[in-house]
Formats: sequence, C-alpha cells, structure tokens
Amino acid sequence: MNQNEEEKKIRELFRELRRADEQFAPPFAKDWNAALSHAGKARRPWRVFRVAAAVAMLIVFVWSGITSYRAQSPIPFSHLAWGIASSEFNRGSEAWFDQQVGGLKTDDTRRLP
Amino acid sequence: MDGLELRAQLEKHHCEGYGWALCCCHRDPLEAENVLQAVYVKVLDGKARFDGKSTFKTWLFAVIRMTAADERRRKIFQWRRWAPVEKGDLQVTMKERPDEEIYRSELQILVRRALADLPRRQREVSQLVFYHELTLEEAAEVMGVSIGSVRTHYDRGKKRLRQWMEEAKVFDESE
Repeated sequence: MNQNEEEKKIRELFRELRRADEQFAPPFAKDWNAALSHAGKARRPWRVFRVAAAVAMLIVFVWSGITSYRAQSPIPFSHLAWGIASSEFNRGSEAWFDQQVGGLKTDDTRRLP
Repeated sequence: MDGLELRAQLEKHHCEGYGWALCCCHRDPLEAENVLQAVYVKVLDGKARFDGKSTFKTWLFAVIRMTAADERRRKIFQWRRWAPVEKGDLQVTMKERPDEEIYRSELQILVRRALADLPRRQREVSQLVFYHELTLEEAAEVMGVSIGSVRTHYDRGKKRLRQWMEEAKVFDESE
C-alpha cells in the first residue's frame, strides 16, 4: 500500500470516527439554552465591588492616620505648609519657633561674635 | 454579524465543534459539553467576537481550544484544593457513559487509542486535518502557531499514526 492510499485510509477512519461522534453530540438547543441562562452573569461586578471596598478601606485608614497625627503633632496643622517648597517650609517653621521662644534665639545668636 | 446569523452559524458548526471539544478534553463527553456551553456564554457576553479575519469555523475552533485550555487550568487549581471530591466525581462520570460503549467498534477504538498516544500538538493537528478536514493553514490559525510548525507536527503525527496502524494491522484488514 503506497503513502497516498495509506493517507486515504487514515482519512476514511477519521471520517467514520467523526460520524460516530456526531451521533452522540448533544442537541444545539440544549447547550444554547444553558448558555443563555448563564450569559450576563459575569463575575466582573463582584470583582469591581471588592476593589471598590478595598480602596474605600484604604482611604479610611489613611484619613484616620492623618487625623491622629494632627492630634498628636506639636506644630499646628496649618503650619505644615503642604505643597510648599522645603526652603519656604523651613522659613515658616523658623518663624513659628521664634514666636514660641519669644525672639530669645535670634537675640542670643546676634550677641555671639 | 447579527445575533440571529451568529446563532445560525453556531448551530451549523455545533456537531463539529463538539468533536473538536472532545479532542481538546481528552474525549471526556461531559467536559466537552461544558466547554461548548462556556464558548456560547463567551459569545453571548461579547467576550469572543468574530471579526471576519478568518472563516467562522476556524475562529470557533480557536475559541473552543482556548476555552478548553482555560477549563483545564481551572480544573488543575480545583483539583489541588479539593482533590478527593474531584476524583470521586470523575469516577462517576466514567461509569455514566454507556453510550460510549454502544458505538465503539474495534476500529474506532484503535483510532482513538492511536490519537490518544500522540503528543498534544500532533494530536491536535491530526484531528484538525484528518477529522475536520481543515487545511494546514487553517489548522495553524486554530492553534495560533506558524504554518511551518504545523507542517512539522502534521508530518510527525501522520508518520506515527501510520506506524501504529501498521502494527495494529489496520491496513491489512481493509485490503
């Protein structure tokens, strides 16, 4: 038997196998209706909800951290100068320190040689 | 492609799709049906869309192949978590397959065994070319690999099938 005939025979065998399989294929309507009942019930909304809950918890955690820091901090929160360059921040804190100490520090330093 | 046309196309290729799903699921009929339903859900949800770049059949077969791979991965994960339960379920499904027993002729058993013995890529190419009568180009599209790779797998698979059938004396009986 040459190669072409062998290939033909293999194809024939596979065709028979296919016919046998197709006899036992489930009806299309059954699978389609099952799919219709499952369609649209994606898991994504649940995932989105979980992510949203995690973000909300994170925000609450950060906010509670900030408020507790404000309560404990010796420097008033308004003096923290958020978003201002570090040099300006330093200047602000020096002024505050001078206010608190009553100008003693600056006077003392001026008296030094 | 509108909904009605899509449904008609899916219905037209349903039996062939089932045959391909069987191949992708190690010939487990329940698993193959699950995969087919999962494919239809994907189509209905718009997760799998036919863009017309290939034929409908090759597109559908590619979706079936990917869905079967997803199911396989999901099953491995489930098996790791609830191994004893899954094992029991599998035994039940193996027993509940009297239909398989009915139509199994000796020759079909031989062909199935020969197919099952092939490595996965060779089995897939052989199934697509001999069983579904696709061209090598179409098989490459379904499998998402190059035509050269498909040709290699096809030649090796065919050679092994021929050897196997010669050993089983399939050719002698038919003459």
